[in-house]
Amino acid sequence: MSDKKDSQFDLWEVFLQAKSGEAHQHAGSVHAADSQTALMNARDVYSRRGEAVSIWVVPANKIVASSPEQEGPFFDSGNDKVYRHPQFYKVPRGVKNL
Amino acid sequence: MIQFIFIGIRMDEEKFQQRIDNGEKIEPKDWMPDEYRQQLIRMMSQHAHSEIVGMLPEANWITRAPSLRRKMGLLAKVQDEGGHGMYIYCATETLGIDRAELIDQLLTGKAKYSNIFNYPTISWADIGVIGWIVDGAAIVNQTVLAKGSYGPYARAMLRICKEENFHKKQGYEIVTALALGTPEQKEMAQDAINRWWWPALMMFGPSDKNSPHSAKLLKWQIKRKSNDELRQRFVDITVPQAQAIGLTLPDEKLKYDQETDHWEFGEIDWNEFKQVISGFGPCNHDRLAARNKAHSEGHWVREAVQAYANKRGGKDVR
Amino acid sequence: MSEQLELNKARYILRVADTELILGHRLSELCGHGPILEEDIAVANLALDCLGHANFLLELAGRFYSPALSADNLAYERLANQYFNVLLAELPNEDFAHLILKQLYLSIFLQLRYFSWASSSWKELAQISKKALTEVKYHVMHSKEWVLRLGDGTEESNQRMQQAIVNFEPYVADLFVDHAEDCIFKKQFNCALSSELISDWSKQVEDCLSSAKLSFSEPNSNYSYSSITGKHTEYLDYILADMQFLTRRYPGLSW
Repeated sequence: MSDKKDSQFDLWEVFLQAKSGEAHQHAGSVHAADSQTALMNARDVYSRRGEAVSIWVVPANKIVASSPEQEGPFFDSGNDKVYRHPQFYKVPRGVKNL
Repeated sequence: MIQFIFIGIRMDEEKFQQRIDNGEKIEPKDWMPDEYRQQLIRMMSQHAHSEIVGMLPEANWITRAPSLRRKMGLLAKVQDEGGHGMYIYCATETLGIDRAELIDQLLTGKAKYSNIFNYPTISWADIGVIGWIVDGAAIVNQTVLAKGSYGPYARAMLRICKEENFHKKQGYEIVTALALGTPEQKEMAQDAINRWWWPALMMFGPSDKNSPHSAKLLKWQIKRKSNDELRQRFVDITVPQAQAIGLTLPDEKLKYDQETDHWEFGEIDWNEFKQVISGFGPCNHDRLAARNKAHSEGHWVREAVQAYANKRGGKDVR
Repeated sequence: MSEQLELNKARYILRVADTELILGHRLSELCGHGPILEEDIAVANLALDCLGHANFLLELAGRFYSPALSADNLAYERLANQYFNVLLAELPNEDFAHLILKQLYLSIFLQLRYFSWASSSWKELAQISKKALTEVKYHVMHSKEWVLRLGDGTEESNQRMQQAIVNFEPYVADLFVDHAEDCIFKKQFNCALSSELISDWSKQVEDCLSSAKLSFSEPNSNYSYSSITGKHTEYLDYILADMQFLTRRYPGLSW
């Protein structure tokens, strides 16, 4: 073990909004001791090539995720609930704005 | 009772293998065999360490880059390598190990990094050659890793592959300028490729029959191609690139085989590989010393940062 | 007379161009050796920004020579006594505290300088300055945040920052020395004199240092040694010997 024990700080997840109007997408993570540093780090690490107009950072341990066991029941697959899809409905041709 | 547990694990392993065979991605919270997790931690952390240590031979020439364009290009490239190390450390952390521990493994010599970075950059031409053939070899490897079974690693590879393309182009542009320059510049380039060629071929690792981990890694699609296949692909790509700018490669046995459409090449000196990877290469000592120095000189900085955050009761500091 | 004015323009721009070049060069020395991986990457961004600004400004300055010179000609073919960067830029990164304090001092200085140029009637300079300002604004924020963390972190980090403040004291007054060119272009294009930047600079630096539990003292004009006429510290020759090594050994080649 190296003689000086120290931390690499907390883990933060980074979400980038590529263009105004789009949803933020997960880009990766950074380490930081506080939120301002996390934001600056995210900007320096993940938007060097102009990939973002907006950045969110979230402490990794604050993210609540569904677990793989819930995959079936949690995500109602919708494959057998076709009434949710537009193709299910037949409408007269030529009627606009449907 | 133990028998039931054993059967339970067998069934999990079978389901797991089926997911892999179906081309599904394994995510951090999914069930995985312990050995899958351990192999990934070993492989991914080694990769991350390589990116970080790999900054050193190239950073060596940033201050001496001979034009502003070269200076900025090289600095951006080395910065990217740091970023790549970070992406892969973060992906490794999803497997349940802290970055501080990973770094400690590197600094204490417990973890390995790519052998290629134990060679010195002793001329400007080395910088071009590294971008061209060392990054070039890494691209061959990483393009395939991007199709690997572990989600976070595959995604990190995709991001890295996008950024890596400019590295290789930049390297080749540097070598081209030298190869097509004055006789002294051309000699600088030829000398560099003579020193880096064989170590670059060794980057792909020993032939798979001599590689202890390969079979399992292939079965679990952590690796997708064998070392030899990747090495051959790299040679086939690179030889014409050298020919295009009038440089030779230091291998008398290099010969194009029309039937197989491959370039045959000579025997790799695996004794050199063993010697360097065992710690007796030109730069092993200095690379680790440099990383340890940066780490220990940075200790007070990290302490200060943590102390400042603690004084403000945790994360919400603005 | 007009040839002299052209050279005056070159000299005037070079004070900032050379500062950005030498500062960028010094920052780039940290690459691969930083205290935290994220900060290694961040400082490389700062260095790249500085070198980018230097490149634009050197290009502009080069046009005022006859025959015109390229940015590379200026960066790689001048000797130390032909450089006009501020003294502070040359100082080595003794530790991370020195690097960050230098960033605080110079980024605030450059922000004020670019702001004045951006609102002057010198069109090309204004254009370059407006672009530089968006990046320099981030540099100012980054350095202020770091000065806070190092000043108000641990006792050791505070002491190191204090030491940097002491070590830099002889070099601060140099930032605000006016030369003949300052007066010429104040008249011609309404560019602020260097000496006119001192009060805004002092206020911002004092605010930041006191929030960081660090002591501030006004720039001391008793330190009158200035690089404005091409005089430098002993560091610049070593920097240039490194930077220009290849171009001195193989003059006039393409790389």
